[in-house]
Amino acid sequence: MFLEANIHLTRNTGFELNAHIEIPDKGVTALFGPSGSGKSTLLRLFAGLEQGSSSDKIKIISNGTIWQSESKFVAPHRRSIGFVSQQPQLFPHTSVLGNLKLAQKFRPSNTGTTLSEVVAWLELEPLLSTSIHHLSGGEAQRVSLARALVGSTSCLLMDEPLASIDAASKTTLLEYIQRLSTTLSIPIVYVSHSLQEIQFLADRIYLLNKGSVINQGSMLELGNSVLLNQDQGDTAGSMLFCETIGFDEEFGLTQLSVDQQQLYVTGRRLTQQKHARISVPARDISITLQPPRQSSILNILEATIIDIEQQSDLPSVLISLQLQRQTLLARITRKSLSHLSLTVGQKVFAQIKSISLLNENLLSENLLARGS
Amino acid sequence: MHSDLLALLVTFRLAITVTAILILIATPLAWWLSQTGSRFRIVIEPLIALPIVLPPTVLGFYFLIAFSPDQFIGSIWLDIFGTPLAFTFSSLVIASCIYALPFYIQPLQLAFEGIQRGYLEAAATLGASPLKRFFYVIAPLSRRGFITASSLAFAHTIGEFGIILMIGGSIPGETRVLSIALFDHVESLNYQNAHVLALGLVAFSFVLLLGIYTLNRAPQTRVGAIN
Repeated sequence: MFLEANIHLTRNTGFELNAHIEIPDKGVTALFGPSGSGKSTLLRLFAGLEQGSSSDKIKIISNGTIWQSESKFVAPHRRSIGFVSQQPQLFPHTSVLGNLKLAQKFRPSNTGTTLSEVVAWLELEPLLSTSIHHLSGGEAQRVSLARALVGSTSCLLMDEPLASIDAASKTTLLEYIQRLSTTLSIPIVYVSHSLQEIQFLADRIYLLNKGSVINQGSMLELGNSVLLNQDQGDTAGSMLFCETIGFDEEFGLTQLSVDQQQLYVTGRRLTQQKHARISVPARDISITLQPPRQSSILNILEATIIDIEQQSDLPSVLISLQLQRQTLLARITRKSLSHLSLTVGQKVFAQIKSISLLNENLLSENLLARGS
Repeated sequence: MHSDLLALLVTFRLAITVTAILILIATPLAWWLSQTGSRFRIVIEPLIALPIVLPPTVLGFYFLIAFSPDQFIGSIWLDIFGTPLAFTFSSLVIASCIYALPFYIQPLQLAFEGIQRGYLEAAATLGASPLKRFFYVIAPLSRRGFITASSLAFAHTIGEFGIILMIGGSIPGETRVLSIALFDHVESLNYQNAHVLALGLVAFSFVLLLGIYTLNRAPQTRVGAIN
């Protein structure tokens, strides 16, 4: 266990935060919830950037060392953490290289990640001599991430790192972070209100609302749950863990396997890797009762309905479909639901109209195993 | 002319000493004022600003009394150093430090207050101790504040007259500074020498201010311009 925290905090504004959080030694733990849920406050408490007031009960232990208790408080600069906030906060009086060198100077030991390793990982070589005023938002955040990793760090804490950059840079940076999460041997705590980011990155998730933990668990258990998706509207969707099988030369398709069933994505992709995560928007799934024989849709998965989430004020419903181990969410209209008379327990076929994917080198086997 | 050169030397020695002492002592004070939520701040800030509004002779009068050997400060000085404090270079340094304090503190405090908290938090999470944060982040980001503060303290010490007249007298090589020398020249109707000194002080002040404004206009550190 890298970190264990028991937080009971009350603000003057009436906001209350009550949470018990455990961060394991490896992998990405996501703190997910709407704004005002307390996720950023938790991260700042872990970093020591906030310490609550004397009436709060806060206990944070990292690897057996007390970081905060009633009688003790370890200052942030003694916690050897890497912290990336929503704004890159690059020091404006020096260059990109200058920022990295300052980090090198600040961190106490010469152990840990070297500057050149970080530059290589995040491909910063061409930017090194750039003034930070000339960086794009995405580049600045990449430098900020690099800076947080120089030297010896016990963890990487990220507070909405993609929230204030443009959509195109978001994907690029997300890929970098994903690659890092498999390269680094330190735990990552990732705070976000974006389900897509969490689905692509996280191994475990804490779902927060109004200062309390509503649910927690592995992404396999919780990642595609209705609980996570019900407030997502049009962006509701599922993340599926896949294995890459091979490339079909004749049709130019990459073949994947999800819970023993076949899926195809166009182009030669993911061929270097055994595992991948794909994302399927709930609105891009349609349901049929018979296997469609004459359809242009390639990706059809056989599944069992395990839940139908209806909200009377909405014209559509969210349906949870069980594959073998994983679940898939489909959004269909109430009219279709009634027309097909769908019920829980029924076997159906899910036609998938679109799949998006982010590369992932080493989706851990144990993650799949753990979810059984 | 020889005595005027001596006065010039004393003046610069005084201004440099005072500025150096303020940089060492008043910088932490300015930092504290910029960050504190203490309720004493509301009292301390006007106390520091007092020399700006008080007639220098009022300050000088109190210094004169405080520095005399039968008063608290004067007697402590006598006990420690074995010589009286009044009418010495040291007494000028002490008085000038207090007189120039607001001119040093205020621009610096303003510069410190302008530093975004995020930079300091970033430095802290990168492992920088408070001292390292000061030298590697705060100081470079408030460079202009330091330049303005030091220049103002330096210039005000050079131009000081009322206080020195009250506590320093006009001992050549010890307490006779330029402004006193100028006064002496005028009193003895020696207008030619007075012109040289007066013009010299005007030129010096102008060049100093020109330097400050030039440096402060240089588009180098755009604090907070990213995001």
